[in-house]
Amino acid sequence: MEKIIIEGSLNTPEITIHSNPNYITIKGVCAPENPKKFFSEFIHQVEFLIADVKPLEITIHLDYFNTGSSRSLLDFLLIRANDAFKNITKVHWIVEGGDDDLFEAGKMLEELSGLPFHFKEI
Amino acid sequence: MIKSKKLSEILSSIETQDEIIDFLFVFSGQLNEDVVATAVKLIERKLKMEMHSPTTITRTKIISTEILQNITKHQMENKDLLPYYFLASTDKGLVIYAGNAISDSGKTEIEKQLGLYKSYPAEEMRKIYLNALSKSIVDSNGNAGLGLLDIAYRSGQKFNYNFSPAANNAYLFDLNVWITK
Repeated sequence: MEKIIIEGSLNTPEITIHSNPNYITIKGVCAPENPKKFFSEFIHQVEFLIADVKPLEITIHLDYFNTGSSRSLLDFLLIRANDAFKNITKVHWIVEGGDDDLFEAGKMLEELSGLPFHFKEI
Repeated sequence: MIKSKKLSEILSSIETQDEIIDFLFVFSGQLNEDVVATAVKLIERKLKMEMHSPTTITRTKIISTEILQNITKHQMENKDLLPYYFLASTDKGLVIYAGNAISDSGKTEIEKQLGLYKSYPAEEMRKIYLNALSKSIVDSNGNAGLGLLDIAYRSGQKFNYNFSPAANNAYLFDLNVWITK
């Protein structure tokens, strides 16, 4: 069992990457000026820690995001080339109760990624 | 005390055009990534204090982020036309007023995009947005090219814009976005 925590900032989320069991948690604001660079570094950390095809669950609890991050998040969910991402069994999409826009953002990512989303209102 | 004559003119014009109840957040000046993130955090706190719904708060934060980050990326240095962002409340909801100096080529591109997004049938907007999101590519600078479409989609196409000629082949680009209850 190993774990990497990427600290959040004013415009980036806190990310926890956990191996055995494999899970990733993304929580907070996701609006870096250059999402491509941010996600590239995050994916590199995932590949460093998770190198098997065991089931991977992803939990996403966003505060808000920018459009570049929305697309980068979709790119992240569409990765199938590396072992770490070949067996994503579930994406938990967590939103504050009554937040239709974040709920809808999750619905769009579910449609485009083809992954099984589990929606939870808190 | 607002020193910029232009800014005071804009504020006066807004107050007479729309039924403003209160200005919730007012900013003018050069922007960077940290200022944008801090501004959005302050906007969120103000909206929570005013008991706006989670949807309105999220929508306002996302639209404001797109507007402010667009200004950050495309702002031209012009001491007479400083970027501005105002968030105001009205009986019908919230209104964002934003503006910044842009180049002639910037004007052409923005005008083309906003005109197109305004013309789309409202009932098609989700499909159009989903299609654009699926086809977009984030470039090395982090741009997905979805910012203006995102603003149009989330506001229900309730936006207006104007370009005023300024010195040195620049334009003042004013954008108003309504976030209705």
